[in-house]
Amino acid sequence: MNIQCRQYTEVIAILCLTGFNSTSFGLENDNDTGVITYGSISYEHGYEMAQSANLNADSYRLNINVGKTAQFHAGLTADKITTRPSLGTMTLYESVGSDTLVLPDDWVNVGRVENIDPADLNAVKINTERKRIAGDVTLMSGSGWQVSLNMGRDKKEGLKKAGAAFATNTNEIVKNVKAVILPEPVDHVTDRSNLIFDYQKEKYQLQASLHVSRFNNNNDSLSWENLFLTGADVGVMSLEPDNTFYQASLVGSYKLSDATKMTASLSSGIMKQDQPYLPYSSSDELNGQLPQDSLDGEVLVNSIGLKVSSRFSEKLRLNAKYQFKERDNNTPQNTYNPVLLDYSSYGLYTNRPYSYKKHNFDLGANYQLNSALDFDLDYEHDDVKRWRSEVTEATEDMLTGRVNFNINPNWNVALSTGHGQRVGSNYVPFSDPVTTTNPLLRKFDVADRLQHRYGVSVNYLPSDNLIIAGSMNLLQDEYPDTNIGLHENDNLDTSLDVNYQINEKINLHGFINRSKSQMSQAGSDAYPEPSIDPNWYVDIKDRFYSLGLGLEMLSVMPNLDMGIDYTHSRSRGRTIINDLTTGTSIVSEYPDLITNYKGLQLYGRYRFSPNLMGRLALVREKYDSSDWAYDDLDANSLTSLLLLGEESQRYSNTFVAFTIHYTF
Amino acid sequence: MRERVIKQFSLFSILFFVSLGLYAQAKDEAFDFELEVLTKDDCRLCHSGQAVAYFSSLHGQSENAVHENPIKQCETCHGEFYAHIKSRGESLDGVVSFANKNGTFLERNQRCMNCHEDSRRMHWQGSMHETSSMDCSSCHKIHGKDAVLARNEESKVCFSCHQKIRADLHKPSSHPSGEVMSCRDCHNSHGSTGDKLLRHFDVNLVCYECHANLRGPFLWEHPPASDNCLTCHEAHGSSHYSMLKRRAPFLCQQCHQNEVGSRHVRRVMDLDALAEVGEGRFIAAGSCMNCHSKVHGSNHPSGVGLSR
Repeated sequence: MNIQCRQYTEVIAILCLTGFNSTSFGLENDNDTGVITYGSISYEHGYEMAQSANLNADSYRLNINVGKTAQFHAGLTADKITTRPSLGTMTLYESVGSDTLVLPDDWVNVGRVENIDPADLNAVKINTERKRIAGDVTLMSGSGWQVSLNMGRDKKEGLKKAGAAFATNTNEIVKNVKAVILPEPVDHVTDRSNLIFDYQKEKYQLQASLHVSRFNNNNDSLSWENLFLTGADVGVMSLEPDNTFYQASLVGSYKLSDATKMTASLSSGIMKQDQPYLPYSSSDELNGQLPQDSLDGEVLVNSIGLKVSSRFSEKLRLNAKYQFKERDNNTPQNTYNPVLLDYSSYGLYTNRPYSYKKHNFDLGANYQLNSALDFDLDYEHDDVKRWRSEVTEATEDMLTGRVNFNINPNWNVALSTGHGQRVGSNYVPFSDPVTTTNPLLRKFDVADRLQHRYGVSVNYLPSDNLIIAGSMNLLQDEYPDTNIGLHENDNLDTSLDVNYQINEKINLHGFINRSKSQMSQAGSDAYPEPSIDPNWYVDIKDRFYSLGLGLEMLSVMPNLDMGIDYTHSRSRGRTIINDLTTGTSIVSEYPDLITNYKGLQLYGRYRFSPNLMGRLALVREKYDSSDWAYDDLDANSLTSLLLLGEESQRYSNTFVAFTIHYTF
Repeated sequence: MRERVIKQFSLFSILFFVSLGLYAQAKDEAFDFELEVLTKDDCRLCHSGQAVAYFSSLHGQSENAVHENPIKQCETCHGEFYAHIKSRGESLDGVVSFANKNGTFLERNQRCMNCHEDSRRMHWQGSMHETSSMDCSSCHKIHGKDAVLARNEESKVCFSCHQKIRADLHKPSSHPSGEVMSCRDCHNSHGSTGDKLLRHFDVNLVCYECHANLRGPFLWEHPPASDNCLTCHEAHGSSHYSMLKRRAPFLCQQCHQNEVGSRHVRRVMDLDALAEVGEGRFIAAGSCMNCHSKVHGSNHPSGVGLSR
């Protein structure tokens, strides 16, 4: 064996890096065995991925891989995602970022939010940053064994929004609730480990794995001082509790014959959470005896899967699948005497740990009539049993079919449709004060439902260098037994893609998508007296379209590639109310929800030498939006809710990005 | 005279058959030489572009060392070439061509599975992509750079069929698409134990990998959140904040029309309410979450209304 591992070093100098792809280095053969030693390093300082309103451009990802084929692999990944800060946010509180928010020393409590002087508010940056580092090692025996270990840590820090309320009167609870939007500290750490054993032979593969995940919140609670004249002095809310998850899985497949394969899986996991409780209230006089000091929460999540897939004949393929999923919530049930928003007790409540068992059966067939025509038919049956739910048993049947025509080498058309029905047992609402609800309500996630799907796709290749593809898909959900709640929900998506290879060096591509989504629901303001029937309706219509155009030119000059990408997306949301509460129909409409994004990128890649590559990009992007939930509202605009003063998101960026990559 | 004619005929015949034999031998040698040239100097005489790209790929680097005879590299995936060469490229008999898609997709895929049917692909047969008659080469490019292997290029390959997902990822509230987050973080395109080719048998377990803070279990659960995150959220992107399917209060009112609380839950939330003194808090900013901020569950003993 004569392994001559070339020494490799990679130096990357980055100035405002963007869009730098993985590049192999140190690729080296062992000429006797075919074993190669390889390594790669990639770094992207993210702009390109940040094409949305909720992500900032300040992101990166570093990835390093080394290995030797069929012997070992090792990798290291580090990345960061930053969310885009909310615009114009302000808060009254001091010590922002800690788990104790205090009012200014000279603060005088107010009865109404309008009485707060905006000058008393200080700017606060509401966003989070997630950093992740992970490493993995895989050892391969060469005789079928493989062992992998990967471990990672996520750290998320920053601030997010949290509504916080105080009650001041139990007779008219909500009318007298006063609230404030707080900057909630985020300081989360999640550690993950996976240990995986693989064994494979010609006829079978086995995989056994152990997974451990631990979540740690460095802030157990958040306390805040009451800025209002009424209510408790201080409120305390719990933040997401520390928790752990352990899971063991065993998966295997076996070839019964050349045509038939069987796959089986078994998985068992346990989620645990036992963080000490906070007291019922921040007011000692309201605190009673807790039934236990912590939840001792425990949920088992188990799964069994079995699949047989057979190429029954040259023309017919059959698949049969069964899967069992279980969420077995063993959390102790106890009766609590909660305090309503730090004001007074409002009755005894027993927690309702949610569990389910789900069985899924799936039979599918594909028949190839000839080279031009093939059919798919699939039948799926779900059987669900739930505990502590309004609908404890349900079944759902779904039949789908697809026809695929290869009309000629230039034309392909596929048509598909599916129809399903979900039927549940009697809908039995809970009866405690918090959840006593209109008897005509059917929660859409458990309600009886009819579902229809239709799809058509067309691919046309008029020449070797031109591809045109279009598709249209419609999904309709109907809830026939629902009087109060969601009545129907339709989604229609249409797209057209074109790719034109003008010559060996120039490629032109583009796409356009259009999505229409609409739903209607009903409510009853009159419940429980004088009527339980619907007396208001809401129709929501969301429209979205996106358009992309790109031109890439290779070797414009020796070693120089250039390109341009343009993206435009726009959404519009309409909310139409039909109010019958007065006996006559009054139709009104919210202002449209609007978002508008435009992005243009010009880039060039230049290979100075086999070892040195540079990339230069000029980027311009613009985003604006209009949202009635924020527009025209100052922090102190509402009587009983102190807002953050947030504005609809908008931004405009222009920057130059430069990348240089060197290998030696 | 007769003997002379016989001798001349015999000599002619001998010369004819010898010439014929020599010609045949020469022709065979010429063909063998041609074949030899092809086998030794490989398929790149006709397929130079593919060959150059192949030798720059991981496959090419590896196979080059394994097989002394380069044609064996091509035969590993493309089958027997004799008829193809003998017909000077006109016949594809015995050849598995991924570009021309001769034979069945099963035959083509089996060429890949001969080496790659390991635990990562044990669910391939009968998976959503396999039952859609997809080739491995539908996504993978063997000759040259395989874009689907690069995180920031992978999604572009997926979008060529999944245009709706591309549209969703362009929406204002969406998961990032590119190097930092890629399709493979949630899906295994070669098959899995879960729906939608998810990496776990349950969608919530996929979400909890990054959102472990929402895993609980909580004292006061919000059952739809414990059951399926996709009850309220879109997986890829939405026009509404937090990737919600609809925005509050309307999304919440699809399930909550409670008696408690001075009818605030079940009231008609028209725009007048926003301007109404004391009522705007039900609609502005986070709407219901202005008070019920622990919407995924609360571990506070007084958090039964998800407000603590």
